[in-house]
Amino acid sequence: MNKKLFILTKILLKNGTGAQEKKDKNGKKPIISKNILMLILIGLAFLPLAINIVLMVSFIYDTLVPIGQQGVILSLGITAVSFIMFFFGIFYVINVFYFANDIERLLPLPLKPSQIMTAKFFTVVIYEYLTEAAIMLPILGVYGVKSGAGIAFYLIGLVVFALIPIIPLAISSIIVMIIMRFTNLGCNKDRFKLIGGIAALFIAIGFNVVFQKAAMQSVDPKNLQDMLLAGKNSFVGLIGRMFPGAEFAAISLANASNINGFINLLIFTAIAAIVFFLFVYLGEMLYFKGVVGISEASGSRKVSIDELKRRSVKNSKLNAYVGKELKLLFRTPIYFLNCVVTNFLWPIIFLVMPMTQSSGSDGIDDIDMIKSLVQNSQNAGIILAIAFAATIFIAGSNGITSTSISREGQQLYINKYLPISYITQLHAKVLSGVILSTIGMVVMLITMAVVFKLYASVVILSLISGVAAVFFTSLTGIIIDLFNPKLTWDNEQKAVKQNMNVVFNMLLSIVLAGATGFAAFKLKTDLYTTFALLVLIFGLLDIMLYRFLDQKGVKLFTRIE
Amino acid sequence: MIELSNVSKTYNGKVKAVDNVTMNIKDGEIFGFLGPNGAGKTTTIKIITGVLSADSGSVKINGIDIKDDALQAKTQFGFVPDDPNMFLRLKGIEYLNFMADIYDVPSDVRKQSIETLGERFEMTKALGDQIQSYSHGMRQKIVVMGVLLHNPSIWILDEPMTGLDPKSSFILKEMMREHANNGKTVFFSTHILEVAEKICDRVAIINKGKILFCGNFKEMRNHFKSDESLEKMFLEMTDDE
Repeated sequence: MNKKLFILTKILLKNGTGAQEKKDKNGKKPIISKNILMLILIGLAFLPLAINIVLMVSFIYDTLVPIGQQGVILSLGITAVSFIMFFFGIFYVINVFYFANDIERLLPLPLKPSQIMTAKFFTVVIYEYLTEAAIMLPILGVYGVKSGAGIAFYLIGLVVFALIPIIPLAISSIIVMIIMRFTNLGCNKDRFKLIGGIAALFIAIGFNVVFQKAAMQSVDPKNLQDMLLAGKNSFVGLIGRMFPGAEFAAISLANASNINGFINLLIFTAIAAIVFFLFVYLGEMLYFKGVVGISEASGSRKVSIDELKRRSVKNSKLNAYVGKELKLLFRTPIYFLNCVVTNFLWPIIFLVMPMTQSSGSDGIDDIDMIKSLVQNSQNAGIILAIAFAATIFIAGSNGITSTSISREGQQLYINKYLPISYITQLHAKVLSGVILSTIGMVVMLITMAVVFKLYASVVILSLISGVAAVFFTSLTGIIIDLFNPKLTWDNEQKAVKQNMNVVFNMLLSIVLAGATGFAAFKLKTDLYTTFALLVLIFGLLDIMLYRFLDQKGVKLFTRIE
Repeated sequence: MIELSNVSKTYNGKVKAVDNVTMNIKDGEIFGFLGPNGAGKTTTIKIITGVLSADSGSVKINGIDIKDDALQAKTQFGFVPDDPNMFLRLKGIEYLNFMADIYDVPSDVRKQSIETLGERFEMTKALGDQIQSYSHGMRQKIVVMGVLLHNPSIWILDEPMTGLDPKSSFILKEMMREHANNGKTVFFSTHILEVAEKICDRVAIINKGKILFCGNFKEMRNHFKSDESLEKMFLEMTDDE
């Protein structure tokens, strides 16, 4: 059984990366593959971020040393990573366990549900190590060096690092499996998959709130003060209590030099094992019931001639193509969750964040503070810039245009024989991104306007200037995707989830959002000057990108075979 | 009319997928394109339809060059690719309307065509469902319907019979005959020799990117100076060793 599990995991991993070495024109493998170059590029792009994290962690460490709570950075890091994994784990698990096309090929094989699941689980765990490394390595490194930790710390660190993803991912898997067990009913599988996916997301957000509240309420304020004064990393466990298991991982690291460290490591390992086996046990019962027949679709076979005729009205080519793009985005569960839902997720996160950060009755403090900042008219220019930056980020990270060529996959050739010019097709793809991102922006701005009571003038100017931001990221997205589209995939998940073009466009948008915010803080221009500057600068950039797409973009599209 | 002159295409700098192909497919004929797997059939069709561009040579469709005036050339033909798994999440009717929009078919014309084609292929009732709920044969039929909506003068079909039930296959063959009899062109690839023998006016046999033979069956028999079956002649011609 274990051998099968190992083989299956290996195959899934190989298959999952979709990393096919492209051969050059002479049929030789390039000396340095594109993938390695990509990795180096990404590494370079993340380098400033990594340096910042290291600097920030060591700053926090130094501030905490006087009160003897420096271990808190460990529990903060572990809970943060656990939450991130738990939250994104929901997406990953739905995609990998339920939506991936390989399921149809795995089901007929003589494998137990738990074998398929466990193999898929490990592939997710391995992907999550990358995310984890970005946060945990700087923290472990800084803490280890600054506290002059011995070999035991690093050994425990290694074990903890390896085990951290297990608990959050197993919990998100269990949630998803239970939901999918009950939504895999009826004939419209796609719709049920969507409902299941969205339900899982809301449950994830709900858990978030519950975990944090529970951790906060587990101590009364009086004890809190005593604990703080006592020093000796007494806070480590408390912060860790925000996510199941994190407490013990953090305590074991903070006490690596004594027996307490070892005991807590054992407890942490035991919890991870229990949660994992619970996942395997439940999976054996639930997984097949949720996944069998998930890809089948049946129709009603009922439609009248009159209805057909009513629906057959002529449209322009551009409209028809935009309509096709939007229909596919909404109806393909993976595209819907990754491109459309994420687009609207931010307002929810904006709302939930202040609610969970503050505890109990005095919970409105944070929002009140932001409100007073926002309502100071001297800040209006900066608020506008922040709204603009947020729009860049939302539109830049939804991946609609940055996967618009990749999503065509092996079917790209269809676009080549249809009598619709390439530039019209590219315009339609940009437009579908612009439409959805604009709706995302409007939802976000309205939420922010209601929660923080923004001035109407700020909201209106944000909406107008935001369109320039939306066009900007939509154009950069499609241009990035045109240069290196990911067309060889056998399930839709690989087109959007494992597509570096999304990451590139997101990084670009983060850089530009950061630059906009930074410039606003430095220049301190008033509302209307900020508006004029943003519209002017990004309007010009949009025109340049548009002309680039018209000329070079069409050539790139022609060259893709 | 489709004219290919000296068309060549090389993959990866050495594999000659299409090697100096010259063919004329005339109006009013059904032209069969035969060859073993990997002979270069699909590559040739992709070059004709503008999906791939040839390294050298030219392709003219009703006298319009596919490279110079791609859009105009593409409106001349209807193309059924060998893989009918496309636009699976669109409903049948949505797909047909999409194709009609792309080919500029006016509302009243498309209403009429959707009705007649739907009845002829017995697809009317399924048009309200997503294509992914269709069987392979139904997918093949909806794709065929989509390209016939704009009543193209040239039909290009890549392995059109695969997966069709006997009745649909019969109807399609019947429609191909009608189309050719109206003075229009049908170009299709197949490796079912019986089909080719029955309905084609002329055939071309391709192997390793080269046209080995182009003409009608009478000419083929003369060429081989035998009364052997098409199957035997085909196997003989494409036998490598």
